Amino acid sequence: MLEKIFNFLSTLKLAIVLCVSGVVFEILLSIWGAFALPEKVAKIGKLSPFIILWTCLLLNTFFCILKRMNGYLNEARKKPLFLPSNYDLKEEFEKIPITLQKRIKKDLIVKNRFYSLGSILVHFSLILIGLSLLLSYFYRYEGKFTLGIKEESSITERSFEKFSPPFMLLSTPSFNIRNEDVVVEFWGSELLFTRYKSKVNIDGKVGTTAINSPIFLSLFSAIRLSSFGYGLHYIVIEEGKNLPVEEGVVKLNIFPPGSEDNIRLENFPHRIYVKFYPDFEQKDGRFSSKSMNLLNPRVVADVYRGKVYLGRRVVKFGEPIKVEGITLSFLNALPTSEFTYVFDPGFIFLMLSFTIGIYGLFLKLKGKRKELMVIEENGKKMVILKNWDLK
Amino acid sequence: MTLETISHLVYKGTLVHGIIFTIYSLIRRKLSVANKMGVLLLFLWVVPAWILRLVVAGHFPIFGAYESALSILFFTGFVLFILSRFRKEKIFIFYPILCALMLIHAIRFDHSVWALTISERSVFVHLHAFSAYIAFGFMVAIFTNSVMILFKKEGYNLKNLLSLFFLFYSLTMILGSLYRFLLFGKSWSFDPMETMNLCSFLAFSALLHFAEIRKGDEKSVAIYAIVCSLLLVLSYRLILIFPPFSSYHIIDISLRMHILPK
Repeated sequence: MLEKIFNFLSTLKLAIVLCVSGVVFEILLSIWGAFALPEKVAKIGKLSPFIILWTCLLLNTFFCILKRMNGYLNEARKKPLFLPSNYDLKEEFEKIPITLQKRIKKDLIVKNRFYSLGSILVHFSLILIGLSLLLSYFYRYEGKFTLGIKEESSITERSFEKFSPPFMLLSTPSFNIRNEDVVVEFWGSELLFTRYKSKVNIDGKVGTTAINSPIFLSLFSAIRLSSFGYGLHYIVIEEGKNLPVEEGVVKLNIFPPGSEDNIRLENFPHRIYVKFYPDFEQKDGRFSSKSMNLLNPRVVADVYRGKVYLGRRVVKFGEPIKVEGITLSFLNALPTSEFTYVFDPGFIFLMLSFTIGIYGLFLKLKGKRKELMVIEENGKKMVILKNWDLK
Repeated sequence: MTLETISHLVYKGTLVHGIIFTIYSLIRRKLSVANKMGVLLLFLWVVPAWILRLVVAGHFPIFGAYESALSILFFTGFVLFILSRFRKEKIFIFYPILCALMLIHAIRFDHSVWALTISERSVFVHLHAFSAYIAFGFMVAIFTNSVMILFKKEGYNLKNLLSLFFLFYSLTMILGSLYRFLLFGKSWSFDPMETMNLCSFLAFSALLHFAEIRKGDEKSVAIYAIVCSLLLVLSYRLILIFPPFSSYHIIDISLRMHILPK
């Protein structure tokens, strides 16, 4: 019974059936992808039919390797496997192409003997890929935090503004980071980053990270830039007083232009909803930004006290907003960088699996094991060949 | 007349000559003529068009529908050319029609020169695109040989082509996975582009195993190879009709150009 199951699970036909089933499943998933948001598609892709399919495919791969392992390893040996009895062609030495004659220096030539090892490596890498993805599934997590220019912070999992917890927390972050500098450039007037980098100091080591260039803290963890924003520097002065009662730099989600966030004043019951336009223009009563560059910055502020709307002001930096005995001013907009910390123990094993797989494919490129033997028959020098293409 | 205008004219010229060479090959009805037309089209039109676009754009012309079509033809042409040095088949016979069809579709898209976004400025994404285009070239060779096998033409076979294609296609997936991790911190997602290419990967995996089981039955393998090739073309180009929110491969493009035909 077990032998029947083993034989069934280790057939090439089953592999083909499973691959073709995978094709159908993935086509359906792609169609969903055209109509549903990526998050929903991800949930569909993790449903049990898909999990069962991938499990069967990996099991089939494993049993296929197991069944054929001896044969594959045998094919890698230096001694003849097929010859002298199992040959494709027997020919007189003088009648074989001269180019081949010149290459025959010994009585036995075995070529491409690692072809079968390539098969083992390729299929083994598929199993490793599956295990790596499983590792990522259970242990991967990421956390986001925002730092303004010159801002420093000690990061632990409690510091994250957004945190995607894993099934099992294997390791927690603990490092100090300072955002030394932010370089941002846009293409013309478009919302198109042509350059966005952040120079950071992590535990004394200085490095530069970009959206597509993470800094690896270890084999399993990395930090990268994930978003850009502005922090508004504001002050609040109470009527009759000269010195600010309140001052701060607030990190807000006000980028891209038109995005709205709000500031809750600490000492007053007011809440200010702000939009920020780096290169302000007004057309037909609508506010917009001609470009992303800080050429004509304006803050559009809607002031509330509880649910009472106190009005809208469109102000330059330094221009006061006077409301109910207080004066609010926005002094500056400072770039902020959102960083994402990623912990993924599966990634490095995935890359290793890929390397093994590609090496296996390279080994298979030259073709199957070839054997050539020179023998003497009836006083004549003969050549017997297996898998050798004389054309 | 600016260099950008000249580049676009040469692009159109490539399209027109793709159509002319296709019609001429069909009129003459000789494989050798179709083969020669393909080679001529590559070196007289596709290569200059690609180089001009490279100079005008200031970067490898591999992003967006307009540029990627040209690069697919460029890399495919070179793969076929290298293969023609080692193999005896007339492998360029479908190249003119491929040029015509790809460029008829792509010329409807925006041909403005745009700066590369940050995510497009990476060695890995370039290598990812190059390996994808090279894999496409091998796929065209597989398709050509498969059709000729079905028409019982002498001298055509799929030997080594499947392995070469699979190597470069696997490399494409691997580099894509690596770059996705660098960009998003995840090595895989359910992006329709990735899903469709996984679909093609599974299809070609099945083909490889099928070819192993059905040794000697070239006709069945050829039919399956043609189906897989068409699936791959869909994987590469169908994404252009997906909405921008569905795939990161499009979001970047939609940030800087309209992806719907004018």
